[in-house]
Amino acid sequence: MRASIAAESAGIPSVSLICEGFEGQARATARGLGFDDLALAVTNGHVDAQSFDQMVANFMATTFDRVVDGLTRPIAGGGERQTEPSALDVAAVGTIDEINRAFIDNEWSDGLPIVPPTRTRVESMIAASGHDPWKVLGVAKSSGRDISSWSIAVNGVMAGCAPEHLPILIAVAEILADPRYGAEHSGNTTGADALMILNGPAAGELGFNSGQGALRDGVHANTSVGRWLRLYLRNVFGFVPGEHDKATFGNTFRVVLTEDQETLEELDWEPVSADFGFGRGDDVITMARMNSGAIIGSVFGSTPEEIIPYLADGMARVSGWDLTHVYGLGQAQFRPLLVLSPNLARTFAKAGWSKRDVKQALFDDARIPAWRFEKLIGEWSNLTAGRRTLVDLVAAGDLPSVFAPTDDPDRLVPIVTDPSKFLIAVAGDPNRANAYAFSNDGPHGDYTARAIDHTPATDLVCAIPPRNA
Amino acid sequence: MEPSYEVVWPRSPRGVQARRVANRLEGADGCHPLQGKRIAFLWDFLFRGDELFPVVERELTERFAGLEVVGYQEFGNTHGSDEVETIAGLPTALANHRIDAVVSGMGC
Repeated sequence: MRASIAAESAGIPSVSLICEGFEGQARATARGLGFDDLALAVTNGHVDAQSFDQMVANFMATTFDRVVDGLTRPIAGGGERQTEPSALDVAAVGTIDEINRAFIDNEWSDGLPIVPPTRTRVESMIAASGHDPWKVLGVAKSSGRDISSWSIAVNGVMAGCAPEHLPILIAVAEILADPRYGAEHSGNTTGADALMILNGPAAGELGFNSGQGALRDGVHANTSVGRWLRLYLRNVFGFVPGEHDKATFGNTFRVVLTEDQETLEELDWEPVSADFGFGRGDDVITMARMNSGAIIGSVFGSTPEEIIPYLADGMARVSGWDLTHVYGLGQAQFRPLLVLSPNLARTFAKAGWSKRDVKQALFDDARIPAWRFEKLIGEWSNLTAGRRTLVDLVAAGDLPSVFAPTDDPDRLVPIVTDPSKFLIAVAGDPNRANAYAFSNDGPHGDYTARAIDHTPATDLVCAIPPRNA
Repeated sequence: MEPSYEVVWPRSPRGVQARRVANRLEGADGCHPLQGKRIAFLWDFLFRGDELFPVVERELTERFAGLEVVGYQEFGNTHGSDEVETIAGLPTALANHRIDAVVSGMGC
């Protein structure tokens, strides 16, 4: 849709070919970019589930005429947009049950009870930070809505966040506004959910859990901030199922993963945020959308050499169609994350290994046969256009030579382009030898990090007016 | 008696203004609007566009005299890592190719 909109914006009529079932998302995307009446040519069914002959027959039966109509039939347009409330308008009144019913009916809720976002509560949350409530951090590309301090705080209240969490929410909102993250892809059909990784001293001060059950709901800070992200994507970015959110399955939201600061310091290991240019003492939130996760349970061994093969196997197992982010949909943007329990991290550190050494070992050991890599990104998923072989991609300079030292289809190739592409976090029960492997969704929510600024803002240019103003 | 709450709206205003689409193609007297036009294909390198666009091209060129197609290869991948740059460059690329209309796919 974004390509068609670029054409329409340049005064060139367009028609967009879309598969059946994507009309809602297409219209919502176009509306978010200012166009309510974009021409669509819808196919019958999904092309990936049809033989070539079926696909062409379906196209000729209905879609071709829609292409012609879309380019030539005048579009009336100009329909009035529905009037929407302004920020301070009362959107609903009632008891807590009535408010929750109204939020569910209007698709403003994630289905769990929300804290009623009264004006007083929202004002209190913003007052704690000193932020200008009307400051706009950016525009949500998917919905065209403003990413404002006010809306961040409203959804923060709903999620049950505390006022002191607001600087974290604002840092995450800045990531969402950053085009490098690609928040507009948050509703793709594979349905990845974002993982926020928190580093820095504020994590402990604000009560975030980095220990046992680090990825489990139940701790207020980790859970409410995780919930806020999903609510914000729904309410401001428009990721409501059936419209922008086309997740085939999806997940519930992920709680914030907090690295175990104490263990990192004890082992003299860098935090995840160091991979993105931040220092050890910086409060930083790093975010990426994750596809699959796999527990690597009961890792047995007392030396790095003993435990690396199993960890590497877990990283390889969690990597499937998303290898298209090595080359294809993404380019060197496949960056799987390994979360090590402190127990496992200590095994490496005792032997003098740094995170960098672990990454190198994973690069050397987490390998799959070339034929399997090619089938995953080409034949089985059709996600890398042209189905070029790894040999072709190396010859063209699109992949490093390690992917094709020979043309033997059984040769073992890495799952990332470079050891530094692996990310390693330390969290979880300090006494257990378990790990968790995540695969990421490449450019569809690419790793982006932001410093968390706790100092009261000095950018207040427009205060909230008094109630009777 | 349970307390009553007055709550505010969890969404935010649309910072993007509503815009009108471009005028559709028009033909000279007696001509179909697509006759003699230059059509650009734009592709996100997904969902069988490499198989479907040749079919669209064949049908368009057979049915409408003088219609020319400029293939997706000329414009780059409209999705993935190059998306931002490719789309930012489209107005210029379309103008350079003297494009009258665009067929873009595949949204699936």
